Amino acid sequence: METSISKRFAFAFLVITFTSFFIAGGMGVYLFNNMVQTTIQNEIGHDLDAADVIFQTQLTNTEEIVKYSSGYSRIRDNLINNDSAALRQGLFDIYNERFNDTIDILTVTDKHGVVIARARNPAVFGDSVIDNSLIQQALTGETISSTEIMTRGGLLKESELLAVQAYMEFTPTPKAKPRPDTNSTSGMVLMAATPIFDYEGNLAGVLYGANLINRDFAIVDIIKDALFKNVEYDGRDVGTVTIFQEDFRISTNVFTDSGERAITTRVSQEVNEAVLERGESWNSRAFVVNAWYVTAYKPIRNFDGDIIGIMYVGILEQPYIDAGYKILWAYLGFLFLGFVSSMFIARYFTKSIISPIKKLIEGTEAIAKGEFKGIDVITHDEIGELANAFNDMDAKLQNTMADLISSRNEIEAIFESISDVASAQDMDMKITFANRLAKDMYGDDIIGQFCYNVYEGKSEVCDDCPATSLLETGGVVRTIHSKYDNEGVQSHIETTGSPLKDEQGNISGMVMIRRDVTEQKTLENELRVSYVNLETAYEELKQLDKMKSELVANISHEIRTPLTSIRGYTELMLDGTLGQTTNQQLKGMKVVLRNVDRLTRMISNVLDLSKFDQQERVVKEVGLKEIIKHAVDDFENEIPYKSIGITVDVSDNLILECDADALEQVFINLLGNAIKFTDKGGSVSIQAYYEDEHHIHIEVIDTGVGIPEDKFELVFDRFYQIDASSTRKYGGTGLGLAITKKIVEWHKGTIWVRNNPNGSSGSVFHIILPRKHN
Amino acid sequence: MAKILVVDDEPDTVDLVKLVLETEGYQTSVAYNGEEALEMIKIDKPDLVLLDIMMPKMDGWAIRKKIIDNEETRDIPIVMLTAKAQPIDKMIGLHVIGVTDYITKPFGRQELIDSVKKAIGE
Repeated sequence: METSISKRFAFAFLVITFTSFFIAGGMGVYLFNNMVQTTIQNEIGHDLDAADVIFQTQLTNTEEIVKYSSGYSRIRDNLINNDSAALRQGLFDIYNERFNDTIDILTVTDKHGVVIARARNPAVFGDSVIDNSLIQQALTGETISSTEIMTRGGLLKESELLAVQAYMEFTPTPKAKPRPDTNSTSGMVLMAATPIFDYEGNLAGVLYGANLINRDFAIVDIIKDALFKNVEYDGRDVGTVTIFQEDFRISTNVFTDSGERAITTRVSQEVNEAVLERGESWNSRAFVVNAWYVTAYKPIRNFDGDIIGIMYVGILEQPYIDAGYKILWAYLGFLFLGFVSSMFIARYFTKSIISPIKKLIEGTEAIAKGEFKGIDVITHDEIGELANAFNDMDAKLQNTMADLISSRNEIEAIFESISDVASAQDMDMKITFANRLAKDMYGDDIIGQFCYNVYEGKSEVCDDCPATSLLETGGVVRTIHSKYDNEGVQSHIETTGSPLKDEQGNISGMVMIRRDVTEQKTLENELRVSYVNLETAYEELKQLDKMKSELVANISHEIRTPLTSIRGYTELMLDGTLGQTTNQQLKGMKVVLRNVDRLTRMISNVLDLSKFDQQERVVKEVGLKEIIKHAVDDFENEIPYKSIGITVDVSDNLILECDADALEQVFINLLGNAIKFTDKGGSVSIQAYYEDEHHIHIEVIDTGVGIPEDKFELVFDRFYQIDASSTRKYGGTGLGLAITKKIVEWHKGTIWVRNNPNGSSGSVFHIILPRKHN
Repeated sequence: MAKILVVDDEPDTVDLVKLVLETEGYQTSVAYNGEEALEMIKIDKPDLVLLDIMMPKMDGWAIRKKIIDNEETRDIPIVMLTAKAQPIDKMIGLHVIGVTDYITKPFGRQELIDSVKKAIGE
């Protein structure tokens, strides 16, 4: 529905207004109708009763006239005196003088019911009217009146005019009950009879009179005037009164369309059956002649109680209908006013609701455009709360967006700075992002294309696509595959895929980084071959080294044996055991002995050096001073001989983890060198101190010949002698410092030599050892 | 004078040692392998055995074991006279196995004489 809230509000208001007005209106109309109906029905019932009363009054009036005229002496005396002719003359005169316009019939009978004189027809007399119930009753001495039907014969006797007046030919009426005859000759009369007595009080006769109702509209008009005051509506009488003889109208003020009184028409079958046949009152809406009336009918009975006709009263319905319409129109007018005011009210309320909502919408649209400016809605209702919440959200969103953008920029920068092809794919393998390099290599239009198409030139997903295992493991996957270009050159591509997850942690795609590792791969292969070669070579070398060590050990043993003989016999020769020797010989033998010694030491050192790597070493925490002390003790014999002063300046608290035997060897070698190269009267000192928290610094200082600066490094090489002459002079093996360095380095220490800074000659060997072996 | 048995597979060495000891006035006998040595010990009952280690067939340590295992010869002092000159070898010989002395080749005349004297208890 593309309907704005304001329209919906207006619509809702209208619906509410409509609904309530219709319900109220419907109720009103219903109640109004109901009330009007009931009221009219009640009223018409009362009217009918009133009409009946007036009708009865008319009857009484007739009776009064009869009673009154019976008092005339010309009637009474002549009757009592049996002077029939005088009576006839007297009645005729009285009637014509006094009553010809107030009563239609005035007749005297004798005490047997035989007519003596008729006021309107003096010539006819002598006939009996004893059949008449009213006459019979009057003959009993009682004045009586009632509505009766007179036959044409009876009427003719009274007056030929009356018979004519009474005759009616029925007008065909729709809805009327069918009847066999088409006319009526009898008439309905208001009849009264009164007895006349002689002076003794004996009944002398009866005077009766009657008024014919047929075509006499006096009664109905009197009733109408009394009840409805001649009020007309739209040219019609509002109220109508009708007297029926049997079922046809004999007197009425209902007019036909041609403006004539609607006598001779007949009542509807429905009313006929209810009133005439069943003797009930009939009270309802009815179509009378030519219009709708609210009507009431009741039966008219004669003296004997037989139903002889109907009294009808009706009110024109149209005024009430029109009044209803008027109310309806007024109501519709109010309804319309209601609509209009509803619209205005709806508009007003809608506006007060809509305008902050519009601001909210504008704010939302601003956010959609990436502008965060909040909205200005100050109402203290739900909308106001919504606006506040909106502004909070706006601020938070702004922060979140800023974070998102900066992290996005960061990630983009990372992507762009990768020197590989990097792109992101969705679950359909369509590229959604690609870095510069990827676009440079595969074209700017790769976004939205399938990755296998772009990168591999394939039309469907690659068999070894990392996505497959990526989706299974949810982790980073790395594969290497080879591909051949058009010229058949093989290249190796390493693909690293990592899953992209949405905010719920579901995998929504992946990031793929493609690196051409062809060169790396080649190098790797070469390296692997080299490594294998190297390993073989290393194994061979190790084997050789082992063989060498064994060889050295064997050789050294083998050399010692002949040396034993050389040394032994030379000594025997030297001490004269083997006979006299010349001085020259002695000198030579001493040289032999010295070189045997040297050779022996050399063998020992070589063996030490070659065996060093193969030995198990025992590392434990020892005091440095103790080790140095042992070493110094070894030289006890030589020191006095050379008169060299040895100073040991090492505190007891220097503790380190080391192989004590090996380290002792270091000091033996260094001290040996120091003593060897120091002339008589010189001095050797050993100092040790903490270099720092983790290292000990040891210095072995002598005042000997010193070492030229350019030989500082070389002295630690195997078989290196500073010069040949020193070999001769000092008998070194050229291996001591090599072993020393080896031991120090095994302890992860360093050793170097400098000239003695304090004296003119001599050298200082520096050693730095870590306190902890590891 | 004390009788000393020199055991070594190297005749030159045997001769030298013999010469040195005899010069000092000791009575010597020689053996060039383990079997001979054990035979000589049985016959001669020497006061001291100078024993080389690296010999074919039965090495010095095995010979010593036989000497020690025999009640009659158990108390004869044994001085090892060997080219196994590594300090560790010497230490094992003296302190772990427990020979009387351990002289490494090439030894000096005086060294040998001192050791022999000490071993015999002169």
